[in-house]
Amino acid sequence: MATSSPTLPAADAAAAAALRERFGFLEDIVREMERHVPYASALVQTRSGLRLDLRDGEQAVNRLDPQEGVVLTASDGHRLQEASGDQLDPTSVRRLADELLETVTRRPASDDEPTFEIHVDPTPLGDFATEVREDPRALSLADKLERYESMRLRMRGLDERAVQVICGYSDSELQEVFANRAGLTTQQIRRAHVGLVLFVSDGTRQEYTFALRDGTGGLEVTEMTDADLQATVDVAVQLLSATPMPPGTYDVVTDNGTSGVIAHEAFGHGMETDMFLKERARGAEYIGQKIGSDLVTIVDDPSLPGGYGSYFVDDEGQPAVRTEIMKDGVLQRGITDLYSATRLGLTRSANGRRESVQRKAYARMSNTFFERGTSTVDELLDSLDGIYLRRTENGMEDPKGWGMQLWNRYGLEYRGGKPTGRVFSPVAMTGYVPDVLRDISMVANDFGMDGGVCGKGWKEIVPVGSGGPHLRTRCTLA
Amino acid sequence: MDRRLTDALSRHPQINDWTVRRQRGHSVQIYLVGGAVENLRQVEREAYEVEVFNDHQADGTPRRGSATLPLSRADLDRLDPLLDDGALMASLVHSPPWSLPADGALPDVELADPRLGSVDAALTAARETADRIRELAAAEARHDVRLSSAELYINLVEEELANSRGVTASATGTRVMFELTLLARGADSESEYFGQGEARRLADLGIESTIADGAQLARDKLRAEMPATAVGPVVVSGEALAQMLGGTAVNSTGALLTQAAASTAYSKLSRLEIGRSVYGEAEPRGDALTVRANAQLPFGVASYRFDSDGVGAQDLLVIEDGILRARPATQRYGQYLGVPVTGRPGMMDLARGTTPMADLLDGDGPVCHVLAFSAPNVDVLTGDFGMEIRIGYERGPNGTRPLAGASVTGNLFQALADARFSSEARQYATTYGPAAMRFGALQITGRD
Repeated sequence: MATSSPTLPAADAAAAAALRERFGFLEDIVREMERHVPYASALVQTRSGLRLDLRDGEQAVNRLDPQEGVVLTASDGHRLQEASGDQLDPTSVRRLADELLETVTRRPASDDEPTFEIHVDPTPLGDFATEVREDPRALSLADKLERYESMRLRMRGLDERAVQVICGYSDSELQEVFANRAGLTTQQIRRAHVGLVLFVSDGTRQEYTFALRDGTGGLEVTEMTDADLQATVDVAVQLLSATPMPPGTYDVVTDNGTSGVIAHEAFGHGMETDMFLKERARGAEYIGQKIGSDLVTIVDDPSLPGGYGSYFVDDEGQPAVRTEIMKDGVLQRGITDLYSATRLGLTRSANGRRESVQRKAYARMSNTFFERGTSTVDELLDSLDGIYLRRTENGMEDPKGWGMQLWNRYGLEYRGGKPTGRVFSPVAMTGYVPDVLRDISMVANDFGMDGGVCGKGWKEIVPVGSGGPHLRTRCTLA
Repeated sequence: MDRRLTDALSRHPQINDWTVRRQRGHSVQIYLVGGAVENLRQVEREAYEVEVFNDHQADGTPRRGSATLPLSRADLDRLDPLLDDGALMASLVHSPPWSLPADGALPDVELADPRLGSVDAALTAARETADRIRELAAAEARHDVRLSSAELYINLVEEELANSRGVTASATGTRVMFELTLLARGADSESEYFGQGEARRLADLGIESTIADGAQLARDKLRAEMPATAVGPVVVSGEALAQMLGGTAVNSTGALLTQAAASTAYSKLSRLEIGRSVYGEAEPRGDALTVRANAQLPFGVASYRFDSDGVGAQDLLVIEDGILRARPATQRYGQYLGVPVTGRPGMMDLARGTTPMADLLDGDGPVCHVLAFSAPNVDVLTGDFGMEIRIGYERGPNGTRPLAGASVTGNLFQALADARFSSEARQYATTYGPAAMRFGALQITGRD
């Protein structure tokens, strides 16, 4: 997926050149600001794209909110201050910079404020663009509507118990220009997503499940085969006879998506270093210590090809690299934003992300996953007396207390390595993170990633990926 | 409203109807880490959202297509190609026809904090509030509680709406948001309190009580234990109740109003029917549930003067004594279903009960009292929920002990059939109603 100058395709190179031409003045503004403050930077974002909502009885098509704007950051060596506006012409941005400097200099920090120095790597970064095989812009809206309505109707027609299928499709392009004293960098990030939510009814009971395809790239990431659609229908029909999960502690095998959400919740949020600075993350005290089984390696990687959470440079100018959060069960390091890395004296990772220029940057995950192991999925299931957990819908974490909870659409009961035919839905999974990771006894050699969004608390939504191989562990289900 | 935009829409030959929404906002944001200011931000944004409609035939049937075009200010200088594109998009979408609302009287709804009348006033208020948070948190140091972090947002928003049927409307509002984390230090461990709030007025955030109560909860959490697995009575109050009923920043509508909504019924996804019990097969054994969708509630976070179609705010009786009486219906879905148009739901306004909260917490055996779940997690389509207890108490004949960590699972509609409501009321985010509910029997899964 990752291509950078000078290897950009001609169209992407032209777009990058246009961005440089239009926003080259940001370098001058940063230089001017740094005559008054020790650190300044600028970030411009613009978005474009389309969203379709197709269902029985109605259709909708919406252009994505461009959220066009700029954010200027200045630091007096004690705190950050930022000003964000939606006018991108040089005069307006210069006025915003003047107002920001006025605010910074009018109220100097008090003596008890912390002092820090922001380091800027002087290496220029260049231009980047997501590689796309089937460009959404090359397909007319009429053809898109036909393609995804056809996909929807294919699923709709697979079983007479289907009462509704909702298809949500989106494609987007985020263009970013970041400027600091090292220079200007541009990136063009393209994402595509399709989700089919199937509702079935037997006349007395209604259930649903869903199928998703997404990633950075073009329409190629939204492909769904007839077998994929049929598998989703089969699950939905199974759910019509599902029973509540008998509460208790079980041996479990997790599917790829569930494994990913465990990685995300277990040592994703808890290793965001703004949480270290706020003393909210217990993991900060366990760096270098063994937390999980030898089989556990957890990675955050914004450079993962095709990952829904992938990017080239974070929103604070740090180039994307892979970070091993846990290796062979030993906690390695956190993932950083600029402020917390600077305050804590940590080497930065590329995880300073913003929901938009209207919000501040936090340390955020990108694509978080378990590394694959050596067993086959069949080997994980072969001796299972427990539950095969499928289709995680969401999760939450408690970085201070190390609790976590996942909400799964369903679980399949296995006895002696064979499915019994019993289905439980929904399934709440809870666990103490070190126990869940320590109890990981087998890691499969498969690998799968799901896209989604992640909030910081209840806001600051950013696209992320999570995944990994099937895992075998033990946890409490209800 | 920008005349360039309304004129261009009115003269476009393929646009049969249109709605324009303009929003101009200023935001002041302060972030504290420990006692220090991490970041002080000022944000300004003006945005337009245009919805265009095209009427056409598809398969011999009259159809109406719509397309939504969010526009930046810069887009106003290149309207023609954007509107051409929007008209084309709308012509390819085939939905049943519906008409836009016409001009009519709109209610006055109080939405703005008079203390936050300008950007300068908001900046001053944000700085003063941040100082107050630091003072209040510092005062808790005597109990070994300290401030981990806090965030405060003050947003000033001006909204305008116009449509092709002559509606022109405007409203001014304020929204304030607050997030707080306190840490309590024990002999060999630490615990945290995490709270968040949203209101129209700064004073309604209750920062003083949030810090005082949060400090106590953080201290209690140091000795919290996971409850044993059991089925039993559970009292849910405060933030936890809003998380359960859905009136949170994460999910502003919740399962009750989502299931009642005309849009859900039109998509054949509603389990509720007019004139029928909302409890499904469950026999009602508790207080009767009465719910209003109230968009006129003064200073309600989800209150409004007009919704995104230009329909004026209403106060609608949705559920009365456990029976669905009316469906909240936006302009489109009201017409699709042939029910009265009521606009977007607004605040979820639940009738109080007659039992004081203290009595709800009483009983022969132990009662699990949940004050906060770790995250809201109620399936708005099925009503199934499963949420971990962030902090709660077991109250019983042998005293009170703090709880944390177990999950509470069940189905909201069935649980409400066997629930009693407190006589005290409280507003939390988008929910106004009983301060607490006691559910007769919920599954708690904790220690084996």
